[in-house]
Amino acid sequence: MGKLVIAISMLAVTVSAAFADPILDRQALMKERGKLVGGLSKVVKGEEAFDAAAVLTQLQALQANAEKFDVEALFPKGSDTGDTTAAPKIWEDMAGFKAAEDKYLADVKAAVAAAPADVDALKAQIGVLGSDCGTCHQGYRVKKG
Amino acid sequence: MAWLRKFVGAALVLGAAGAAAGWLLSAPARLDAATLAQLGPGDAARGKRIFYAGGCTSCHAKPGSQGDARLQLVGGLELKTPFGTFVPPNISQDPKDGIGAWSVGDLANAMLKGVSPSGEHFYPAFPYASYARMKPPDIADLYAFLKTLPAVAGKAPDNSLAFPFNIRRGIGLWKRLYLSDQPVIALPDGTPEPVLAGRYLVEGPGHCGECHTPRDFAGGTQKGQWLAGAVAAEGSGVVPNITSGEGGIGSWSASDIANYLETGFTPDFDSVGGAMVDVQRNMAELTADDRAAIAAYLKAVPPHPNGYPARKSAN
Repeated sequence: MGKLVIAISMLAVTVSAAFADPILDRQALMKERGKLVGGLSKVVKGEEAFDAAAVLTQLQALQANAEKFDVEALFPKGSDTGDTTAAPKIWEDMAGFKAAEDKYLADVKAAVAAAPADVDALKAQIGVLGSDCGTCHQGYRVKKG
Repeated sequence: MAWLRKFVGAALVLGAAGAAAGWLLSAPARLDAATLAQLGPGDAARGKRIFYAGGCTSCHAKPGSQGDARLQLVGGLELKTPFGTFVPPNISQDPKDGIGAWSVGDLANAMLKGVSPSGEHFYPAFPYASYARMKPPDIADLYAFLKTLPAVAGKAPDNSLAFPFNIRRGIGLWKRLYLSDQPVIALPDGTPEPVLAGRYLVEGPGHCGECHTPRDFAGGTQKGQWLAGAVAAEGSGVVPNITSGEGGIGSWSASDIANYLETGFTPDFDSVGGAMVDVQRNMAELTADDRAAIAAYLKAVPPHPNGYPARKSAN
């Protein structure tokens, strides 16, 4: 768990270095988000011991990540082509995309505020966040193989 | 010119014979009495499992529905495919707009034979080519569960298909090629029970192969590339390879697969996406044993490389 937290902090540093390319930028943020949720999933699945402080640290990192996810800066017009799996629907329905991202941010903040005290509490929070992941990836991402 | 007259005459006779044969061969075939007799009384509690395994709500709920609204099976989703646009109909219990007036035999004929109560072929966008492998008692259970769901009025729009796909009768020929109640993957004697149970769920009600297997020119699944992934029927994406072949999910353990079906998270910390989001929500409603069975089967199917072309370099 300790190693994981360090790895995540390093990752966060890497991510915060500004990228010129919004596609790389948003991909880095998404990768970081996935790693954080993945670490928390391990705790939910019982592969890692539950440590309330470490879990909270990861949730806070997830909030910081979500707050950095500035939809307008990361998805400017024209960034729908190239090496990206972003679906055209993002630009057709920017308001819906933003709303989905806002809901995710609100749910992450709620998870931090709740500060899960045991695995079951964490599981419930991760369930909500996972559903948010799916909502966005359902319509706003295209698998390209 | 005598030869020409003879030729035209022969062509007409052959053409008429061909048309007559085509007409006979394309006739909708219903279930026999012996199969109907296996349906049994049906049990709604068991049918709920079949409902979620079958993914009925993914296509038949009003598009974008969440929560309990997904049990209002009013139809109306538009499936835009190269054949045209298919619109899943209302299958709620409304007696006029839905299927509230159907008998259990009507549902069995629809799901196992792709034939409507009025004796027309359904289009195989309704995945009866998979459902045909289901056990009749499971259909009766599903029927009992559907009876517990609300009646919702409102007809979904008709399909909008290009010629020749707009000729329903032609589906009879398609069925001769692709409709079978036999398993896709032959498994040897002594195959563990969970793998067999998983085969039933995946190949039958789960109809996973409908999206995860590439199709031939006539729209039939290519069994030689079973579950190898495919260009998506809708939109511009691909559906992943779920065999253990190159590009597939060979690196996923059985518990990774089961966990993905339960939570939507992949082992590499990505999340479920696209049309699979709704499927995963259905899979989450199954028991842990059912998800483990699906995983066991997926680990047992023959590995194939990706059934879709490599991604063109975008840079």
